[in-house]
Amino acid sequence: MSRLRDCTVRLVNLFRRERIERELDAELQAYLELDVEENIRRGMAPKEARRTALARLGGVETVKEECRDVHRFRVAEDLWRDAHVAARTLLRSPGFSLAALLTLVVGMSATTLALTAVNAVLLRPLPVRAPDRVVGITTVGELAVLRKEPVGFGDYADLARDVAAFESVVAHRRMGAVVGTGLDRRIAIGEQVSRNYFTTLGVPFPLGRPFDETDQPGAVVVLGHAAWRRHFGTDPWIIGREVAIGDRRRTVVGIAPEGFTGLFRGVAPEFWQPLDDAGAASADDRGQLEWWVHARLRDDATLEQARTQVAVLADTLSRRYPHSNAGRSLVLTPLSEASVHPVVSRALARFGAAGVLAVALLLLLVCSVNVAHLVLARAVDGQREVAIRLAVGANRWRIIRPLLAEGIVLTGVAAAIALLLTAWVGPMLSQIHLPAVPTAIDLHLVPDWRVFGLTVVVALGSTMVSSLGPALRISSGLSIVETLKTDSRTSAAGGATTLRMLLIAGQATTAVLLLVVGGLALRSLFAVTQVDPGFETRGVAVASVAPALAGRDQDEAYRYLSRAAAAVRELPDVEAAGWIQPVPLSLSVRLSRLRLPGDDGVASHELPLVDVGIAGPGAFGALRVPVIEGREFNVSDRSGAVEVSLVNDAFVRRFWPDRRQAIGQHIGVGFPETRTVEVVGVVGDFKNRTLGGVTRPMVFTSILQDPLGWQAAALIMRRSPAGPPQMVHLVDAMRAIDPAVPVFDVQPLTARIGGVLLLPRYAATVFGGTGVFALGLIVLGLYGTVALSVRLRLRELSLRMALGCSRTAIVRLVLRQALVPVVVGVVFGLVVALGATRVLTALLYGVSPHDPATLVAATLTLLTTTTAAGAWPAWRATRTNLMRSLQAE
Amino acid sequence: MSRTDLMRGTLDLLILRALMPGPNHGLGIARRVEQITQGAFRVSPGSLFPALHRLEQKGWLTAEWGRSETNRKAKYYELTSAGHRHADEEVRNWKRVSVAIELALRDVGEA
Repeated sequence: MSRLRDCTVRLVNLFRRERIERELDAELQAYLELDVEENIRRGMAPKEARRTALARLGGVETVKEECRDVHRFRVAEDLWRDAHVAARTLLRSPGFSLAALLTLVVGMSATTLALTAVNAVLLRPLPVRAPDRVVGITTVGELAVLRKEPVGFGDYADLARDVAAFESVVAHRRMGAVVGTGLDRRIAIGEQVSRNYFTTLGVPFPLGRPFDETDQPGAVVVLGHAAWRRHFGTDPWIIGREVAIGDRRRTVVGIAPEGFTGLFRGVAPEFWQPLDDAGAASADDRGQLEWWVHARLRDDATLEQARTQVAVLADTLSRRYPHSNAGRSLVLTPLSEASVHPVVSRALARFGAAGVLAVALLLLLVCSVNVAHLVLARAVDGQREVAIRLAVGANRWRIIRPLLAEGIVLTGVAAAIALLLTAWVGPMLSQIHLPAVPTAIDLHLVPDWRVFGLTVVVALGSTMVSSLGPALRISSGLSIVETLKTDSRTSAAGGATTLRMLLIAGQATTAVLLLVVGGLALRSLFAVTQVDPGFETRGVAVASVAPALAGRDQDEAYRYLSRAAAAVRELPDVEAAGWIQPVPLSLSVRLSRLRLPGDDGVASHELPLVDVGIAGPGAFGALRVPVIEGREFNVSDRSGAVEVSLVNDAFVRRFWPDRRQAIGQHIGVGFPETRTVEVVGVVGDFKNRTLGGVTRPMVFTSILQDPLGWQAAALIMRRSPAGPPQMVHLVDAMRAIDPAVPVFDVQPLTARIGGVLLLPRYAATVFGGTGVFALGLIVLGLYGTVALSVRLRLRELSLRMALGCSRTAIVRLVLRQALVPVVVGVVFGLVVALGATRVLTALLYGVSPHDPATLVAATLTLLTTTTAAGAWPAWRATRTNLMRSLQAE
Repeated sequence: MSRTDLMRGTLDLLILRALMPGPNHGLGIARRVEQITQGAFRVSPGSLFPALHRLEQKGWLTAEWGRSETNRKAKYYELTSAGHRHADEEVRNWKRVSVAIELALRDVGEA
């Protein structure tokens, strides 16, 4: 209480400084005059009287300064000067400053990045008006496969009409549309939304306008900000112009504001288009759960009212439409409680975020402690001076202040660098491009004021550890007394020794563990690239088509697929071509229950699952996958003919080990309905899911017979050896058959299957990167520790040298002590690495988790670098004039 | 309690004591402290004024400009009621401590 009053008085005084200054002058003047008067009264001559009085008053400025100290916050006032001095001091010892700064930048960057990610996923509200009044409505129930599912269109219409607590209700769903021309054709992810979508959410439109009720469905579009920037160069004149999206040209009416990526975080839609009539026509469709629904609460309605009304409505619906709605209900989730996506539980998102943040903060703690050691090491030289200053009555605060100022300057610069790094790296990291997903995942990892604020808090915490700790220690009464006793330098840092050793050991453990895992991941990546996928990737191009997106029906599509493949085969530089779906190793897998002959009575959920694919004539030839038995598909395997299939060698080995039975067998496969197909051939094994692991049993059906195969497929084309890549010709040939059918993602097969290397590549990069990172940290940490211990033992070491100990022996002596925790840490790390076999095996391919070469290499790397890091300050200490330091005592 | 703290506390107590009879200006306080301690403590302006300002800020003293006997302008300090209470309490504390110390040290000199 009284402290609060103190502070207030001082703050007020800060503004009344002028008056206080004047009063102080007057008061001292009065004192002097009274003293002079008194002296005269005692019989002194006036001159003599004044001189005596002045002498007794002492330094007027000192007195005034002491009084000023009482009156105001020196901290605020001198901050700038302190920072200035601190910066100059730091510049005078560039080695120390750089090491400390680097360490802090590492820790701070990790923290700001983690904070940015957590902010993006959990904290940052979506940029809509009053997000706390927006709720999401999802379907739950025994039929729901996932935890929460979208809503049927009919249910959406009822929600919009019947729930009184809702001001308005929007529906939206993801859609794909082909955009671009020629080789750049690709599928863009957009959203189909009810026309009240933007107005209900209150999304501001700096450019153009949101949809309104007058907009003709199919005629207008709103572009996403990122897409507008990437594909239209932020052209402001785009409003009112037409762009081609899918099979239509649409007028751009607006650009969504930056940062608005729909109501789910993650994938940023490139465009929004109003719900078309086809969508409205399905108003009585309740079976297909494919609409995400959000609603804005009426101003006078509470969340509870809305929740009750929605529950009542759901109940009514399940009784009115038992066929579709029985056993399911609708639930309401406030937007603020929604996470990245309704499917991802918030608890999981929180857990992940907390984990990331904890690791980052731990890293920062280690970095800060490392810097604290550097600060201590540097301060030991000045300890005697500090002791003397304290003994003659210097305020402890005055000793701490410059040290603290240096710390604040260091952490401040580090925090600024970290924020800049995050602002620069964040957008790169947030745009993860997965080969199988047509659009970039954008988490919008851009630091905002929230991240800035949190960074300041974290930076202050870091300063506490890295500077205030050492400063308190340096200025503590205990160490002064100790220092004033002629020599007790070795004990000055004694208390922290155990902690420091533990810290070094912990860092060594982490570093060796990460180096081992990184090394293994690297070797694994190398092994994976050496794997034979079972088909030849070189000289093969692949192009996707989607007849369904052009509105073609099944028969039209069958005709198109046959003629397009034939046209491509006619090209001079094409050796073979055929349809396949999904493209092997493209991270897309289709599964089906398999009903073997004799399985008639077995319930379908007890049947085995196999990988299934669709292929056309020429596909296996183009991939150079051998036909072991029977035949490949041919043009007569079309609808109406006998339904046929091919199986792979792994299938035969698994289900018919005696082989001869394969051809002519009838098996049941397919989804959603099982079709019985005759096996007409056996093809060689090739990798379908991943490069590692065993080849799974697989069944292919003919693309011209499959009920879904006509919707989309990829054409595999092998070029004749002499031909240069002429992908444009391929596209031209296919478009000549039907210009409306989109041909997209035209690329070499090697590029399409690059995704399977993604995980090993990520593992190698992440673990290798963090391993090097950890190595850097322990190097800095050990350097600081050894530097400190050498300073503290300077006298002892000097004595040893004076007694004839060689420099090398001194270095060895210091190193032996410093490296003990490192060795302990390394051993512990290796034990952990050897123990984590199971986890590592899942991650690795083609390399044993106990790979001796990796273990040895990681250990040697760590030991040599840390030895060097420790030897350097030790060696430098022996180069200084030890005799002088002895005499100085 | 460190040495400086002890000194500061002692000085504060002496100032409060010196002001018990009535308001006085800086030089007057210094003289009165000398007087009541029979010259054992000489208070220099360098410690007197910061102490006065500190006590004023704690609310134990108020200050007002006035005229000395010789009609000179001077700043007069006076105990507030809180100051009186604090002073009484400090005096009691001090007496208790000094008696205790006295007891503790009784045989030291005579041994």
